[in-house]
Amino acid sequence: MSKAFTATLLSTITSIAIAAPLAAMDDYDWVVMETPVDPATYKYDCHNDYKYETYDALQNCLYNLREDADNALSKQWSISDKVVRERNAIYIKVANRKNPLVFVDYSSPYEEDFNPYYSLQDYDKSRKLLTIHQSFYEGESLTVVNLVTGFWQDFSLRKLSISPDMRYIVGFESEMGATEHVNILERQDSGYYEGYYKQVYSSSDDSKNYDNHKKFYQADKAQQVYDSETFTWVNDDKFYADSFYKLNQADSAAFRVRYTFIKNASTDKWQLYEGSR
Amino acid sequence: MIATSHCIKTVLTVAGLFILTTIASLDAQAAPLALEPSTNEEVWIKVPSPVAIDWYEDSCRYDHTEYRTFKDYENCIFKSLAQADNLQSRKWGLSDRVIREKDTIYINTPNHKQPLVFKDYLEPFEEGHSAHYELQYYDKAHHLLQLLHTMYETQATVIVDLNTGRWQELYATNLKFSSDMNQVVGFNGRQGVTRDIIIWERQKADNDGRYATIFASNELYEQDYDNDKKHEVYEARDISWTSNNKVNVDFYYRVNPTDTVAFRVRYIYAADNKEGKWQRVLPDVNTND
Repeated sequence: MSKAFTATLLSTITSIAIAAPLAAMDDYDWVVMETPVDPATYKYDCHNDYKYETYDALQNCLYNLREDADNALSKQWSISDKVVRERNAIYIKVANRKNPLVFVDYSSPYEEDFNPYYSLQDYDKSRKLLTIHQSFYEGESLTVVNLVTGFWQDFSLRKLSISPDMRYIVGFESEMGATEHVNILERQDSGYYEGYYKQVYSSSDDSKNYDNHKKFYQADKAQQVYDSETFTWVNDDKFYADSFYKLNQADSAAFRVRYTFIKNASTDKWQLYEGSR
Repeated sequence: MIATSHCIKTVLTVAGLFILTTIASLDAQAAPLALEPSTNEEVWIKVPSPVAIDWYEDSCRYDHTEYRTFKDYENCIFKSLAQADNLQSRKWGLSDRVIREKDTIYINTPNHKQPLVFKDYLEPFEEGHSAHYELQYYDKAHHLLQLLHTMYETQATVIVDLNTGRWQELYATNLKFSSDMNQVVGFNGRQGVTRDIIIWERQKADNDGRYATIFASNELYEQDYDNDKKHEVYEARDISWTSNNKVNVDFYYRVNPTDTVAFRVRYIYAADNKEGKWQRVLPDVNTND
């Protein structure tokens, strides 16, 4: 990105700045974001098609779309012999069941607001971990399936990442109004992960550091790029959580606000730090 | 309709999972037998004395924290559900087509490569989201299978046509089909209004043959506050079609909680012959009780 362009952006920032120590030009890390796909071309919507007058015809249209999307991903990830969608269900062959593990879309003509459905999201080939996204009315969640063992669990998260040693799963909560909250879940003896760290509740220091850092970058005056957050594990005891903000909706560049989470070796508790550590 | 002992056992097995109006179980032999009505208005039936809810020797514990791990609890629940469902499936001669493994009921139908699936939800930290299915009834003549779907505070019945794979969920329990299969009646499955009935009608072929609601009563819940109807014998409640446009809805009550007889309260609903509009009617000479 050209220096002049960056300077223009920053002058916009500084012109609206008023108080306290704020980020200087060199404090900002800029990232060029992918151009968002035009929603009109992105997804064919069965609901807008006049041909689908009956409930079953509409369901067929939806199921065909989901079959195409999920089976294409499964093929791309070379797991189409194990993971198949047919109609309203994703079927997964796993070692601990004779019949496949299934994730089933729910639909009812009388509850149009509550028709949760699944779609494949991500596959970690080296660890054989499949992430499945579930959409429902005003919410979403993620399911992680271990294709080797058949272990699976639902998480009320909209983004997640698994530590290299698989002891922790971190993510942003998906509950409305809490979507900026980082949660850290730890694997229990049972094999299930249980959340114990919530940014807002963990400590007043973490909460203050979080707010300060956002203020430092004047993030509240910019627009957060939807669903662009990333997690990066440095090692088993440390990861970055990055959020991205644009000054204007039409901009291609966004600045990054980074938090570092480090597990205290003696207390085994996680703590939030501003910036890179 | 009276639940079989196996069903009762299943109810007990999973009672800990689902916050429902779970009822004191009765022994299977003790189907109510109609006695002569003591007066023209009253019908009494024999019922067994109520028994306290207790755990069967090999049933799962109510509270998952009594298990070493949640997995142990889950294993116990799904094992007993599988035993019950697969036994039922075998009795109906369906064991090659209707199978439960762990949390899922698999139904093989001719039209699909993969089976139809109905999956239970049992999450360690989200007890409010629990839901499970169980095999409920099979109408061999119409190859129509019914699954009871128990959710948090709600019950519904899934009907599956084993020949076509077509299925639909109806938010009611104790489903009864009219003899021509064009209509079906059941108790509203929302907790708290389970004494009310819903009637569905099969839609014509151009609308997929699904059942659509044509009537829902909204009055019987008041019995909850009626002092002489405190001790309902839940297992004895019944709905029956007396013609293609008339149903009897029967409830039975003990006067005292430990009585071995119960009196019947019957509600009659009928569709107007001209407009086909359903409403509650009073018993009259044409009503053959």
